[in-house]
Amino acid sequence: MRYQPKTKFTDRFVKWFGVGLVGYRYWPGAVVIYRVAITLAALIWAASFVHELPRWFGPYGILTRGTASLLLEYEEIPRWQSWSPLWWTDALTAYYGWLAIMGVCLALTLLGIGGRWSVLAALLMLIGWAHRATWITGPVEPALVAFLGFLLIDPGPPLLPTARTAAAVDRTALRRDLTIRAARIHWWILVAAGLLSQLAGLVWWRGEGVWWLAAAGHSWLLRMPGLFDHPLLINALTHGMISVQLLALWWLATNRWRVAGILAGILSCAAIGLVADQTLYGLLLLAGLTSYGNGPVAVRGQNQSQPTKESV
Amino acid sequence: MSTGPDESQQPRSLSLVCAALWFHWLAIVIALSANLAPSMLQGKLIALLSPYLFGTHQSYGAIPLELTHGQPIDFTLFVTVQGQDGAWHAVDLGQQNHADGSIGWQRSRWAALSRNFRTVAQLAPDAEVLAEIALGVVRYQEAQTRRQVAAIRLSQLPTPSYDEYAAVADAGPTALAEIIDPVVVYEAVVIRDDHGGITGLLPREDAARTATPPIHESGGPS
Repeated sequence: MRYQPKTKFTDRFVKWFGVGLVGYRYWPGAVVIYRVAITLAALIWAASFVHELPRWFGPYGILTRGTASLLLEYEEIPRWQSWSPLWWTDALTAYYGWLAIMGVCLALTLLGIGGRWSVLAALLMLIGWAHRATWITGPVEPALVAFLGFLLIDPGPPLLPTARTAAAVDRTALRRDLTIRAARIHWWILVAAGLLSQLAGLVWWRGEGVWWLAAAGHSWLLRMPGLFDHPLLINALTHGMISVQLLALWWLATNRWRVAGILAGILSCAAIGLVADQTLYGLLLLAGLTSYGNGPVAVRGQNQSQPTKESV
Repeated sequence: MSTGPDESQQPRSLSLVCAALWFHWLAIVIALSANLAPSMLQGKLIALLSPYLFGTHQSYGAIPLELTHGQPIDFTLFVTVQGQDGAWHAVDLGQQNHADGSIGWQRSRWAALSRNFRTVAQLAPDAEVLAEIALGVVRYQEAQTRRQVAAIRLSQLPTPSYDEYAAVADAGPTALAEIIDPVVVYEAVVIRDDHGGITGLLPREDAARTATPPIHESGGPS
């Protein structure tokens, strides 16, 4: 049975603003793959804090409540907008406990246990942590919040489905598809924003971007002495990073070149994570890229004779 | 394979979800477009959207989406502290010290705080904020080493262009200081009360700062 809007307004709204909902369906397992990938990335991100908690938090950490509060005032950010129960204490055990509970919530989300409730709990824990750690966060935290937040629309069936959850698969198809569409569009926006920001600097046009990353100690794979004898490699890597991002954005916007777009996307994530030192961000983008893993198919009786045109 | 939903799905609620998504993307696009240098209009829009952007940690502020522009703000500050014996030591902030003498920040979240520090120092200097961050590092270092810190220095290590590096390639990175002046961004002495407790930091004036790079003073980053 195809989508049947009940009013003219909702018909028009979903048609024009439904981010491609009308007429296309995705494989039900697509959202499960996406959910597992995102929560795995989130778990790795959370684990990355464990060994350095005393450096940043606790009574002798660099970002004690007093220091972080002063920074918040400097930014003129109202305290309520940067909400987090972690503002109440400097006790290290509270921070370790917060990470542990967040890990449990993420694990439940990964398994699909608890549906939206476990997603919501993981999301609130994540935002609370990010707010307290704002000054040492990067591009990964806001992207993680968004990618995880899309699972609130529909987290998909659990990894070990029961008869009840299996029966609900068809009932939640539209919401599940919306989750995938939302993740795709957000991924595209993030990579496009990064690419445009890079192109705002001359170093990426002159083929020097990779050199500056290495010179400043911000590359996982490359260092100055090794790069120095290979000026053409520096140029090729710099232009290559821009090119694969451009191609990924272009190809992923068309269903015809989706697979090539995914390959370019993987290279883009690898470049961000390894050529630059945004490892967790590269990993998260790679996880978000799984939303492109399955192409949309036309719904029976609707657009059946037309090939799917869009993929984003 | 699912061929479509049944009628139990509510179009109205779907419309609300779609509307929320479009609002989210509108806010995100504004936040991302203002990432490098916000215009007045972008600033006002972000202020308008701040309850959502900040409340859900979607504000992109000065996050380096560009990876690098080869500008000083992209170069993470190297932190050293002076012990009571007068020797300078590097603070362990998660940085990687490579065999060739160069430093990597791959595993260090200090890079993000360093960027914020430089933003404060360059765009809208606030002595109290700078001192508070530096004091945090002093507090951490004393807790780690159980030794009193006399002074702290945050400096930009020589970061050469390809041509500058070519001039000293044979001598290695340690010779960079000969062609590139190290930049001391912040330096302060620790003020203590009679019992040895820290009461604050007193920033050193530019003239009092020594320009010798810390990489040489301690025989390489430790």
